[in-house]
Amino acid sequence: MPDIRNEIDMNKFMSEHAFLFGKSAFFHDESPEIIVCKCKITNINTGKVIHDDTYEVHAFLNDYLVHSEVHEDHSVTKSPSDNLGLKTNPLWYRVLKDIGKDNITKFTEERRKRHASKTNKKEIDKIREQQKGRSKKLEELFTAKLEVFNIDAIKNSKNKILRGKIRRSQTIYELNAYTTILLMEEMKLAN
Amino acid sequence: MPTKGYVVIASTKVFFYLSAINLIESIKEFDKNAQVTLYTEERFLDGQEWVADQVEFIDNHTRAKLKGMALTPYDHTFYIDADCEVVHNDISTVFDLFDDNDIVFTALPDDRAYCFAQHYFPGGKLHLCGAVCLYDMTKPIVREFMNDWYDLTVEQYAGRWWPEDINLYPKNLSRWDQFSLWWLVNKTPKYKDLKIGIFDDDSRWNYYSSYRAGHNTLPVVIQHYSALKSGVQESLGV
Repeated sequence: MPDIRNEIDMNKFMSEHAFLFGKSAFFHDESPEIIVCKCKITNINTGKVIHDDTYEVHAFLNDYLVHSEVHEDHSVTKSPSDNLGLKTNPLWYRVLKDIGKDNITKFTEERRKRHASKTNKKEIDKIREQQKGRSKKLEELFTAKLEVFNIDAIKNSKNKILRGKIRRSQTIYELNAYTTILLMEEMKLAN
Repeated sequence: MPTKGYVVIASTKVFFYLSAINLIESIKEFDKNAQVTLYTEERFLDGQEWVADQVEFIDNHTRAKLKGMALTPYDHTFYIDADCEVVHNDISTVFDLFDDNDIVFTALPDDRAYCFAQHYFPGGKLHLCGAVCLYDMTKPIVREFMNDWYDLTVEQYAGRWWPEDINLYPKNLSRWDQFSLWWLVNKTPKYKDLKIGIFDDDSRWNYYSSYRAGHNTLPVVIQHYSALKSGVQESLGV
């Protein structure tokens, strides 16, 4: 796409090309002065497709009609020149006419909701994954406890305190530690 | 004064026996006065059965659960599936929770349906969960109900009983004792006056490890591990 910054050039460009806009156009999230749409642009004379992709149509052709100011800290601010004013981009009107402002507004809303629900779904999925992980850990710990209670020295032990400690273990490490202590106690008793 | 006690049943797999031992110890930790009867198979006994107050033998079959429930030696009985663990001392209040009901269950509500293997069927919805059950055997209707639940489930598992309309009641439901329970509660006229209740904040009385957070408002009392895969059971020497 050529970088067209004035109304005359844009009018000329539009007269030489055919435009086909996708229906799913929407106003940009951060600026209602930009329409984002699929756009196929074909040169009428040569038949060559010069653009067939997403295109941001700005409402104003203001890029060169601005007053630039460079500050001491090297930052730059730009503001539209009062003398020249902002020129409306003719392509903007074409997009509004071809797709319809209501359609663009509607699609913008739908897209916003879809994105919000995607974000929400992502968060829910994340929580569910965490819960699945927690559930898996609980199951693994429970299984490990049963395996411990299936060890001969443990199953024959009447040491209620340490058996209770094993059962109440919250992690595998705690379980291992109390299992070891109980096994040692049982070995002492056996000796 | 009615006698009160817990019934735990472990049959068919060592896994359930070891789970039952763990469960009984957890009951006794949080309810110091608990009386517990363990129904199990003689072949499983490994020296740990002393944790129960009473041990009774039962046959090697999935129907053993309902037989043990019907045989309970206690007037007021709280049955808990073997693969559970008590984790809160509110367990000691369970016998105060009849609230004028004859039998109290936990529920299978829609918002937890993601966790249940089978919930809806054309003829209805399984809405009672048999994983824990508080029941009053001093009432003849409850005794009869428990025996009928056992008898009907035996017939169902053996393929000798099933409702005629298989469009409404698909045969794949026949593996669930919840279905025989559903049938008795919903389709058996003699039990229309049986008072069946659901525990308040019921998920805490049977909290499946695969439950998502937020189903309970008060702390979990009974953690349920039935999502364990058969591989785990095999690793325990079944």
